[in-house]
Amino acid sequence: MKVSFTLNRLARTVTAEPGECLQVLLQRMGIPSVRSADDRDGFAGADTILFDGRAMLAGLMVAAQADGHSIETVESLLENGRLSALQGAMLDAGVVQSAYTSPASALLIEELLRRSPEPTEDEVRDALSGVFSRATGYRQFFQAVELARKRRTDPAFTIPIEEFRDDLRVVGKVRRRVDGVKLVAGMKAYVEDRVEQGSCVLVMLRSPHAHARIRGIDTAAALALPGVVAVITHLNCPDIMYTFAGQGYPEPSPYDFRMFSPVVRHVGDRVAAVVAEDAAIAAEAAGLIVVDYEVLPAVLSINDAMASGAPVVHGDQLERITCELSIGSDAKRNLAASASGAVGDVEKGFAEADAVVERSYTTSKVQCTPLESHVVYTRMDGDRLVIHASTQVPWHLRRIVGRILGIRENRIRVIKERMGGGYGSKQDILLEDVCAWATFTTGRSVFYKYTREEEFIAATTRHPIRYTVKMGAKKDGTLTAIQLTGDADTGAFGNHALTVPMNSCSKSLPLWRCANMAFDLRSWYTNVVSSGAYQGYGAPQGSFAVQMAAAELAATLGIDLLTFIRKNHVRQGDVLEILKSLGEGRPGEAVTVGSCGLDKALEEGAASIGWGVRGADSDPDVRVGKGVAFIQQGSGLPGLDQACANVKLLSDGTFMVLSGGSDLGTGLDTVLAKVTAETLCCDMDNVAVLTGDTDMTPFDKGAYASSGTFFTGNAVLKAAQALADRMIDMVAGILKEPREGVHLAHPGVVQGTKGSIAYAALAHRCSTGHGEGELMGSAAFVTHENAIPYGAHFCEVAVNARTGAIDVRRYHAVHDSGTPINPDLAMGQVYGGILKSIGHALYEEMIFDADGRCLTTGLADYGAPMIQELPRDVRVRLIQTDDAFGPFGGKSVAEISVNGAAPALAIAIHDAVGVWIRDWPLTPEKILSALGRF
Amino acid sequence: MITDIVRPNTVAEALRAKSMPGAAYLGGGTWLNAGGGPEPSILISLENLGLATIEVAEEGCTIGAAVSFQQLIDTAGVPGAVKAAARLTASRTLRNMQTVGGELGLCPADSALIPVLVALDAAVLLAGSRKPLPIGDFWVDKPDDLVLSVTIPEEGRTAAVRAVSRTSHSPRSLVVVAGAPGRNGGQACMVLSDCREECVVIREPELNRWPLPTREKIEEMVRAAFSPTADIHASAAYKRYVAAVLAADLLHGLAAGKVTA
Ligand SMILES: Cc1cc2nc3c(=O)[nH]c(=O)nc-3n(C[C@H](O)[C@H](O)[C@H](O)COP(=O)(O)OP(=O)(O)OC[C@H]3O[C@@H](n4cnc5c(N)ncnc54)[C@H](O)[C@@H]3O)c2cc1C
Ligand code: FES
Repeated sequence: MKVSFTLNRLARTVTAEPGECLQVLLQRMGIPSVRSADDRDGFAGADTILFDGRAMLAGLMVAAQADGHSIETVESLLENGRLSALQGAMLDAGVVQSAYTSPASALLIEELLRRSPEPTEDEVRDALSGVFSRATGYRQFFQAVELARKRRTDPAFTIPIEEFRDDLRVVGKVRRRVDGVKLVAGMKAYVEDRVEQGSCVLVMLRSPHAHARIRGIDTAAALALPGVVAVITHLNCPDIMYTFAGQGYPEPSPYDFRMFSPVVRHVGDRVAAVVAEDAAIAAEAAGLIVVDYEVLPAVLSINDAMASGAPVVHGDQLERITCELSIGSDAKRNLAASASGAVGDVEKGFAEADAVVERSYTTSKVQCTPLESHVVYTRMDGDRLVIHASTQVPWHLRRIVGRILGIRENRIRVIKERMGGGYGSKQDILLEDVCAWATFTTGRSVFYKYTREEEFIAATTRHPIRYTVKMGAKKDGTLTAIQLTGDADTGAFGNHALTVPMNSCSKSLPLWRCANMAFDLRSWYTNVVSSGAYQGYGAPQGSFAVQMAAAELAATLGIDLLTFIRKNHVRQGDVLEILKSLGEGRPGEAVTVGSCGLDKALEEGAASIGWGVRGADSDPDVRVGKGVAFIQQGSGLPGLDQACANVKLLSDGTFMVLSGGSDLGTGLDTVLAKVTAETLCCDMDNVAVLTGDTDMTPFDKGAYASSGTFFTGNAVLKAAQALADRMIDMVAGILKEPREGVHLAHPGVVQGTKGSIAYAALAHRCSTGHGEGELMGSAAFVTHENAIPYGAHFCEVAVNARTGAIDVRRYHAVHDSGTPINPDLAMGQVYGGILKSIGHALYEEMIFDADGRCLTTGLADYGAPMIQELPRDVRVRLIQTDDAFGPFGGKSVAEISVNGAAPALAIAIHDAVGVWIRDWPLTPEKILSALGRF
Repeated sequence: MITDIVRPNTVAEALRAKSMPGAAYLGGGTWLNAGGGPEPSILISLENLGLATIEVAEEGCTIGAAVSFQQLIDTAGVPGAVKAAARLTASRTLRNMQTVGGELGLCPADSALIPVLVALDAAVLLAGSRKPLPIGDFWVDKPDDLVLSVTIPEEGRTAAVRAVSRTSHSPRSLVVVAGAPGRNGGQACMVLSDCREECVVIREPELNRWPLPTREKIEEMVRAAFSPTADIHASAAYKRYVAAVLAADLLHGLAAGKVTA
């Protein structure tokens, strides 16, 4: 039918099937900003439009409904092609991060301001109630609205955001993110925007069984369906074993995965891939594949896995599994990896203690839930394979795919597009391998995007870990020993099986000054979707166990928890000996704490939350309690990882940064622009940044282990310094004076004592027929040092002792991130981490039935937190420490912020109602049950 | 597959359209277009039938079938408990879409609106019958007819609703409504839905007396009458316990004027 409607103030008529999804139609009409994040589940709001002026979801409407109506999308907000005041306000408030729903948020705020020009906080919450923003934690939206509102009458209005480092021009200052405009304007930026007409679509047939042997698979009917291009199964895929963990080579994960296997190992495991001319044909063909399964007994829990006589998850391929490093694997016992280590003598430590507690804690299986699900687009460029990826690890991706396809790396180009969220799960190669193979064998361009259900049944999760912590201390609170035993559920494959549990120790034990510490870790295979990397990388689990045990020990001793922490926490200059035994499959190294802001963080946080003062409530059934946790992370993997960068002087005196780094939406590209502008004494808009393109930019390990600022930032710093040196050398030569008297000066001259040469003039001179060639600085960054970020999280909860309802009233976080290079974005990262981890602690949970089927395959069932779950009073404060090793003293920010909520909340719940809830999520039902109410 | 949309201008035209095979009334489409049920072939838009209005009069409040949940919240004179039930759809964007007619046409097991309408003794006007059908009967029979409006009698009575769910946006595990008698009539009641199969209405005479039975007494009453089914987020024992506590607290709160809808 012909559908006529007003689209962004223009009358449009299109031909559409009456039942065509309106979101799909709008994209077809050249509106990329109206996206789909949840397959028409009505949750995420990525498809928000204004329909006759009211916010609605295009995904839940059909084309025919639009007839005669008016539709506005974010594209209508641009004023003469420039950002509206509102969009500018969003950038300035730091709410544009991975940005998949930023256009939707912009529209919702626009609609709010039209009907309520002076909105209250409640109205802002209400307006944004239909949009899922995993990255931002929503808090800065209130600032964005305030800014937008004030700027209507005062365009120059700014909200003061604390800045750092008076001695620097751009580092530590609030500046708009370099990729912000296109993200908030809803322009093409993501993998899905690169898909050309005529490309094929891939649909994956997945296992309905937790464990089964494929006795037969008949693809004839599928292949016979017109429009089907290829069907890939275990019978025609490469026979190569690998790990899909995107880790540095050699990986500390077992090679236990084949593109398709004759044995499926979890519900949702790959059975066959159908490549067809469109999604409908591919889905129909997948339905025509006949699979004859022999269902095998399954292992669905850690207990199942370790039981004697347990089914063996990899029983069919034990002799094929190899490990590049020694990771304590024993697949015939379902053991994917194991490790143990110690400092001092824990038995002696416990003997010296006046009180010892020994408790068990468990964490649940939680999902990253990136708004942009896993997605890839592969195509041939002549005889070269091009992979448009939403990946945290472009170089590992190229290496792994090259090996599987049996081609050399010079024939593969990976282009990392903007990412609509990753949080760790895009460190794994979950779909790129099969799409690359499909393109390579058919010559066709292939697009594949996970459905939201696939995110739950076929994407990696946080490892559930069951810990037993034994901790001893003297009467005066001096810690004498900590012993940590952990059993992790790695799921069907061993990606990150060793490193996540190890990181849970290396980020929880070194927080304590304790001479005697020991750990013993095991990672078990189960017939459940694989665990993997997730922001924090084990640290949230370890933090929960160890901080809870410390709280229980302090309570046993009758010592105030904060006093206990202050007595025992690590300090600057301490040597972290335990790290020697936490080397992730290799010998580790002891690290000296270069800077530590814990004293200050604990002091400020305690003052802010009113530690020691009990809160009150008018309802006699409601009890109020407070909790605290102190946390750390790392900044990359010293001794293991590397980052490289080039910085070029362009012919008009501006600069181009080429870095292999992967900005997941965290603002890394902005860090790199700032570091360059600071070093090369120019303004930030004279620096362009290109990252994550394996043809154009140099190697970088990728975005994981909190390495972006520290590794990638330091590589760019070194490259910029190298370029500065070259520029100085050249000008010293031209001016015929010693280089010592020559320096760079803002806004763009090389200044000598005898004269000066503008950057543009120097660049021009180099690129003439007599010139020396383009000036470029190149550098690689490796290190044995670590810049450790620290923080303290405090909270206050009100628990209704009759209903178990938990109200998180206040959540105050203080972070030592060295020099906060992007203060606004850093705060946003922490706000995002706080809400995410409140979600993990209180609501989120993947629930499985007795056959291993995930029952929570939508974001609402799963319990993803929305703006309503944001506590009224969330505060983040950044305190500056000067770290000797980070670029301009910067340390990592994003990951650490998820480590505090679970223990802080559980400790606060205990303070309120006197029960220790030792397993995630901390629900009202568990509280009531612990209180013996039913 | 949807092949057409029709936009009737009268109820009679709408009814005629419905007789075509595969035709379905389109409310907000949040269920219909989300693939909630079998896909219709013809959508019958209700937008030209004048059903998107709310009339507040002395004898009661009449809500048109095409009224959205957000309109319920934004319109003065709509009973507080009805607004509160609408607000339990946590997303304003969805509330802009969902309609009262769609909710009644679907009767979802986790409805918060319908238990509130039960507590307020509402009646549903259907296109095929002159006399409004009491909401309780409507809920049991689920007649396949075009809903035109719902009327809530003005008795000065109050009601309050609470729901239990993992997050504000998660599927509900429990809906509890309490209604207190008004100056012009109506009985006190408790409506308890386990959002699965069971929904119980308790109208014991002693709930109309003053002083009310103790909270413990009311809890016992609820526990004796309500046998909820577990769901993935809540066990049966927890549901039963919390339903009793919430119902008792709401009734006492209403009586003391201390509870908001
Ligand atoms: C994300 C999401 C969240 C939801 N949350 C809730 C929730 O919290 N609580 C809840 O109860 N439900 C919920 N639902 C289910 C459902 O969408 C709602 O019940 C909603 O009220 C339906 O309204 P609608 O106008 O969108 O209905 P539609 O989808 O338009 O229609 C629903 C059904 O009613 C019929 N119908 C529509 N209008 C009439 C009429 N006037 N007379 C007779 N039949 C009619 C339709 O033909 C269809 O069968 C949710 C759905 C989604 C997608
Ligand atoms: S219905 Fe679209 S993002 Fe949800």
